[in-house]
Amino acid sequence: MTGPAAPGAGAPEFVRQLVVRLRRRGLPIGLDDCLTLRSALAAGFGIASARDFEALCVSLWAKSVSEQETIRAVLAGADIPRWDDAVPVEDSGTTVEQINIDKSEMSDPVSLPESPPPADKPPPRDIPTVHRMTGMSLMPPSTGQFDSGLTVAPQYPLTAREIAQTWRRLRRPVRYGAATEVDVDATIDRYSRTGVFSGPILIPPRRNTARLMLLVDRSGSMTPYGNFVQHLIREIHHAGRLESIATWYFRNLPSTRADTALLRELPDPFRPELDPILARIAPSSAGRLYADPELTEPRTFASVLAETAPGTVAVIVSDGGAARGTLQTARLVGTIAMIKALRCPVAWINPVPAARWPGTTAEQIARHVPMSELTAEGLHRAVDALRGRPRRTERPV
Amino acid sequence: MQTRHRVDTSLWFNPEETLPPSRTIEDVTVEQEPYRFTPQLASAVNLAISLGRPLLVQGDPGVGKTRLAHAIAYALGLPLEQAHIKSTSKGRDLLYQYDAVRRLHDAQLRRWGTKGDDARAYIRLGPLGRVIARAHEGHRSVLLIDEIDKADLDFPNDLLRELDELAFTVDEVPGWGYAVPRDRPDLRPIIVVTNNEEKALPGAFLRRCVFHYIEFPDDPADLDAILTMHEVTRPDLREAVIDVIGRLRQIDFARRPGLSELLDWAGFLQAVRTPAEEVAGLPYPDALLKQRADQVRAAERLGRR
Repeated sequence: MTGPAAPGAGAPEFVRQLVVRLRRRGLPIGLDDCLTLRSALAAGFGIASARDFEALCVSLWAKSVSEQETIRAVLAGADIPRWDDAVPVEDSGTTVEQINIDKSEMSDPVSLPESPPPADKPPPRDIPTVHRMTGMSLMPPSTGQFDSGLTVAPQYPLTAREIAQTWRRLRRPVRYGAATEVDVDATIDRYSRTGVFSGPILIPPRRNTARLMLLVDRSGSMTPYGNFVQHLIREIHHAGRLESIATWYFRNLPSTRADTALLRELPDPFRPELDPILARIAPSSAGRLYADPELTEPRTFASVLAETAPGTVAVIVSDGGAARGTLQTARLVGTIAMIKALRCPVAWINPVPAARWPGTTAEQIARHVPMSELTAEGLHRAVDALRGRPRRTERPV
Repeated sequence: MQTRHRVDTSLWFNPEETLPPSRTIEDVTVEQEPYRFTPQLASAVNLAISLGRPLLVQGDPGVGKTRLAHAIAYALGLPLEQAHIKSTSKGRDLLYQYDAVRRLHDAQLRRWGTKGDDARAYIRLGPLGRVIARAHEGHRSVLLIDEIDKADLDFPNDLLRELDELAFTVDEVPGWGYAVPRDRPDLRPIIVVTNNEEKALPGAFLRRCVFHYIEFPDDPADLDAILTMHEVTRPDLREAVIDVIGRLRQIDFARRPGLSELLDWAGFLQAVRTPAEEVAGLPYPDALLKQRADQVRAAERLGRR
C-alpha cells in the first residue's frame, strides 16, 4: 500500500477525528488498526448502519468493557454521518459481488464516505419520550434508553495499559513448589556420568516471588491526587503478577513525633541538608498505618514491619510536602527514620510535578531516596529502583 | 500482502441456518450445540473469520464463552481443537511437546537394538500445532483457547509470532515445521480465545484480536428462546422462570446467577415437574445462588412479596 495508507490522507475526516479523540483517551489506535478497519469496511462489515459501524469499531479496537464504553462515548460525540441502510446485509449475493469489486480496487484510494450511503430520510434516532409523573416518583423520569454519549468514564493521565506494562517488569523469578519440570541438562549430565538412565530429574517451576508494599499518603495535600492514586493502586493490583501486594495508608508520616534533637547539631541552621547527621538518624517504627484509605483501621507500624516478609520492596506514594510548597526539617528527619526502618529497596512516587519540588521537603527527600513523578517514565524509573538499579541519588540512606 | 492480513469472506457463518441435531465431522459424530447468537455476536464471529484474527470473548462466568467455539465449529462443520489453559501451561505446549527424557531412555536401550533414532517420534503436536499442521495439509479447523488469563504472563507473548504468521518450526528437528499456505486465506484456522479478566493480558496480544463482550440476555424473548433451545418445553414454567430471574438480576448479589446456572435450575424444575406457580418462591436455590449471603438476601427479597 502506498498513497492511501495514511489515515489522514485517504480516509475521510471523521476517521482522523475519531482516531485523534481515541488516542487522547489513551487508546493506542495506530495505522495498522486503521487499515484493518478499512479492509473490514471493504469486506462489507459495519456499513449497514451507524450502529453496525459502532459495533465494528468496538470489535476491532476495544479490548475490555471499559474501552468498549470509551469507544461508544467517543463515537457518540464525534461528528459521524448517520445512516441506516434498509438493505439487509444477509443478502449474500450482493455482498460477495461488492467484496470482489472492493478487493480489486484495494490499491486505489477507497473512498470511505461513499460506502456508507448518505441518509436520504431523516435519521431514525431514538427520540426520548417523557412520561407523565403520577404521585411522588423517587426516580428521575427515564427515557429507557442507554445513551452512550452521556457516559462519563474517568480519564487519568496514565492509562491502565501503561501502568500494567511498567509494573509487569517487577519480577523475581524463583524456583519453588512441587517439582514438575524436567531438568533436561541435569538428567543428561547424570546419565553421562553414570551411564545408566535412572529416570528424569525434576525441578520446581519458576514463579514470581516479588513482594510489594505500597505506602500511600492520604493527607490533606494529597486529596487532589486521591482518585488518581487509587486508580494507580487498583491497576497495580490488577496487573502485577506478584507474590503479594500489601497496601497501607498513612497521613503525612506514620508518626508525628520525630527526633528533632539532632537538628541542633547541624552546622548551619539555615541550610536544610541533613548530610552531617544523616548516618545518626535512628530507624523509627513508631506510629501507625491504616489498612483502608479512610484511615479507620489502624495498625502499628512496628507490627506491619514485623509481618513483612524478607525480600519485600516498598513504594511510598506521597507529595513529600511539595503540594503545599513547604520545607519542614522535622518531617524530613521523620521520613528518613521511616525509610531506614523499612530496611528494603524503596522507591518514592511523587504525584506533584518535579518542577514544584525545589525548595520543599520533597527536594531534600529526593537527595536520599529515588523519587520520581507520577508519569509513565517516572513509574518506569521507580520500578528500576525496586529492581535494584536506581538512578543515582546524591546521598543514599 | 501477507495471507494473515488478507480479507477472505468465502466462509460465512450464518446463525439463522437450521442445522441437523447431529452431524458427522471428519468421521466423528458430533451432537448439535444449542446456542443463541445475537446479531452482534454473529457479526463479530464473521469479522474474526474474514480478517483471520483470533476472536477474544469476554463476559460473566457461565454466559457461554466456551460453548461459543463448539457452536461455531458445529455450524461450520469443522473439527474443533481445544486448548484448556492451566497455570502451568507454556506457550510452546500449544505448538508441540518434545519428550527429551524418553528419547534419552530409548537411546540407552538402542545399544542392544537396531532401531534408528528419529527425533520426530518424540514430538507430539499440541492443539495450535495440530491446527496449523492440518491447514498445511489443506484442512480447516476451529481452535478454542480456553481461559487464557489462567496462564503465566509470558504465555500470550510467546505465541505472538505463531498467531501472527500461522506458522511454526520444531526447534529440535531442523527444517521441520508447518505453515498455513500463504496464498490460501480460506485455510486459516478460526481461533476463539476466552478470557475471564482475572489478570490483564499484554497489549501486544490484545492488539491482534477481535473483541466481543457477551452480555447476559436481558430481553425476556431472548431468554425464552434460550430456555426453549435447552429443552425447557413448558411455556408456563419458562414464563415463571424468566420472571424470577428478572427480579433476581435487580438484586445486587455478590455473585449474580449466570446463564449456565439458570439453565441448570430450569432444567431441574422441568425434570421434577415443579408447578409454575411455585417457581416464584425460589425452590432449590442452591443451583442458582452459590453464596450463603446471597441465598439469604434472595429469600428476604422474594419472600416479602
